[in-house]
Amino acid sequence: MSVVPLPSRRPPSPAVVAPPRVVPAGRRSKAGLLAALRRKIEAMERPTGQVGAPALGFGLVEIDDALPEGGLRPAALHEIGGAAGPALAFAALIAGRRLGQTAAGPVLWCTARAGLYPPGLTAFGLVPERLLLVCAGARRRTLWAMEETLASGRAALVVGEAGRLGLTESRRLQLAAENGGTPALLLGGEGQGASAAVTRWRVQSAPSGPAAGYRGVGRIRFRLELTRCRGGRPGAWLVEWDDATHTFTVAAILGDGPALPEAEAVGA
Amino acid sequence: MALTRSAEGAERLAHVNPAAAALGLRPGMTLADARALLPDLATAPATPEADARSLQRLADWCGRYSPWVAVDGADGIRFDITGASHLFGGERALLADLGTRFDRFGLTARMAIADGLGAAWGLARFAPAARTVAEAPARKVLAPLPAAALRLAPETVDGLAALGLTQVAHLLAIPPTELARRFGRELTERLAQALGQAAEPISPDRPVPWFLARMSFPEPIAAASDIAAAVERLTDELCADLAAEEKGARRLELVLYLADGGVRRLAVGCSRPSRAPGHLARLFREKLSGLEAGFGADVATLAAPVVEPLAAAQLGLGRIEAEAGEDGDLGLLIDRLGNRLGLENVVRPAARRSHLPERAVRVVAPLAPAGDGGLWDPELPRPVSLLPAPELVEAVAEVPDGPPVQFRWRGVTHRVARADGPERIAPEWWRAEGRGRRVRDYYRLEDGAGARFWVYRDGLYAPGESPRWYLHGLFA
Repeated sequence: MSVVPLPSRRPPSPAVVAPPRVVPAGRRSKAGLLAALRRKIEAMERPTGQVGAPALGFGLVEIDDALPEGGLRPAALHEIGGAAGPALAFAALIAGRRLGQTAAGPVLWCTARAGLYPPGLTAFGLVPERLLLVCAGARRRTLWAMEETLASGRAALVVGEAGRLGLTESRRLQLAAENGGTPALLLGGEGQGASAAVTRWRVQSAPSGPAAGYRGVGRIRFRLELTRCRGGRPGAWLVEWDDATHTFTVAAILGDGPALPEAEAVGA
Repeated sequence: MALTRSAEGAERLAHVNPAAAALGLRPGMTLADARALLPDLATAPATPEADARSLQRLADWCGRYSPWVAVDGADGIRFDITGASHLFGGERALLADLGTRFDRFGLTARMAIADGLGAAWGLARFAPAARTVAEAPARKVLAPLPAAALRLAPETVDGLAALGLTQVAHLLAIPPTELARRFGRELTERLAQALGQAAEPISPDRPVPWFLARMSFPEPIAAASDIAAAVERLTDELCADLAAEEKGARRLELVLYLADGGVRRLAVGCSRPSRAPGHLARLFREKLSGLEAGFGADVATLAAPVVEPLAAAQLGLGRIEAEAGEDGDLGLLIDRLGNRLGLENVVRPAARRSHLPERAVRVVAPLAPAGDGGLWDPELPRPVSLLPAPELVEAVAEVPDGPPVQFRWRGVTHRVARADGPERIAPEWWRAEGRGRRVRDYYRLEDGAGARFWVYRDGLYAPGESPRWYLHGLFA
């Protein structure tokens, strides 16, 4: 996935911007100059080596368009809240896509309490050979483990169940993720308050789609909300997971902002 | 002052201090007799187990002199200081140092150094001076000592005394064959041991590691930064030794001998053999913060009790071997996580051939090669989260094998909108824990809001029996 240039509606960085080199007119076109400026700003905002890292897209146009880089920023902290089961599945989904994107390193999952069931995660693409479970116990130790792994850059992705974080703690994790070039997912928060996370999601379960058999459970669906996105647009979608093809699709767009009350009748 | 214990039907004196002994009290005397002699005798019960533990702790601390240390009986410690006395400036200086420290601890001790264990034992207990170093050969040094200095049984000593053989010199004058004939092999063996003719190695209380680096400090150090610096020097030395033998350490043990007689031990483990000093020192640094060094340590040793062969690494041209501060390997990260959180808390899940959901997952070491355990069956739906123990729910279901139409879990009633199943899982009759379990029918249920649950019925319906329903996991 190529890097989409920053959309023009985004305000420029407040950091000091070096004035462009004065070149004689005719040597460089205006568009080229602007592109060079944008690259410079991007390079200043992120540590070296991160510019140009491919974003972690979902493969779905509707969701990827709402994210500034066309996908999740790979060296950043993302928060996932909502109901326990769907949030775990969503994190496993992102982890599975990340494993498909990069071949090096395992996915490190820091659990505060045992409850994760790897057979259920395999369906979402998270194979056990590349999954490392770290049971840290206390919240402080979970955060320490996440920070160490992120900073080392040896893992493909780090998932942590650490609950709600304060601004300083999330800022630390974000810095560690940037330095190590590793995406970090945080589960279990309530999704409120200031945070240094780049995106914040909320996943709820939704009644499944039509089923083949009488009264059977059909294709599972989630209500996926992007409640906060730095440089992007919040949105809500109804996504559907297909077990057979192991892909998921957007069944409906539910509009911007928090989800509207679900008015669908349940199939009998 | 005396210590008492009950023996042979009465309270008897177990130990007496020199002041009481001077007044005529002896161990073995009954308390009543002792009180008659000395009405205001202070007594306390003897605590042999606590004494043994203190003696063991003291012996551990004596490891600062030499790792070949063992407890000797109920009141002694034996050392093998071959090759270690030069570290302390000679044998006399070693004894002087040991004596001063024991005085500081408030212990009265008698000590002796000799060529063999038997001679040293005898000199320590029966020599006229409290501290002796045997300069002359054992024959000459032992000659003036009483026969009990040979570690003989009391009956033998009494027997010898009855014959007038009270000193070792008398025994040395008699040919050994005669002695053996009259008093048995034990006497001649003990004599041989005392003279150094029979070998008697000391088997230490703690195993002595092959790779050991030792450092002593002129002043006791207690600050964590100082100890960390000492650890770095020790790891450098130890890794040089390991490199010479092409071995890597899997486990390291740091022992700090404190000036007040305490001993602190720290161990770290590595998932792969390693001899990178920076990495190993860093593993220790994370554990040092919890270390309480009291008055300070004056000797520190670092040992590698478990090592494995590790071939010399090929250094690429212009590339620095990944060491202090940098991670060259996933193994180093796992080591750090494991040493801080516990090595059993950093694991990788693997499949186990079991149908029971709670037994289908086992954990293996993170760097173990991907085994042949196979994968879980992708056709069977499995929840993303499994409860640690199935929780009882009240369910209303169609008999005999219909899914629930409604169930109540943790106080909340869910009306089932959709259901899948049943998936029948039978108990594993070939396992002892499997007997007595019942067949389970698993259903995947979805309620009106879309939450999906994994619920099972424990057992089948039979006339007069209504099986229970449990919730085992949550789906996505």
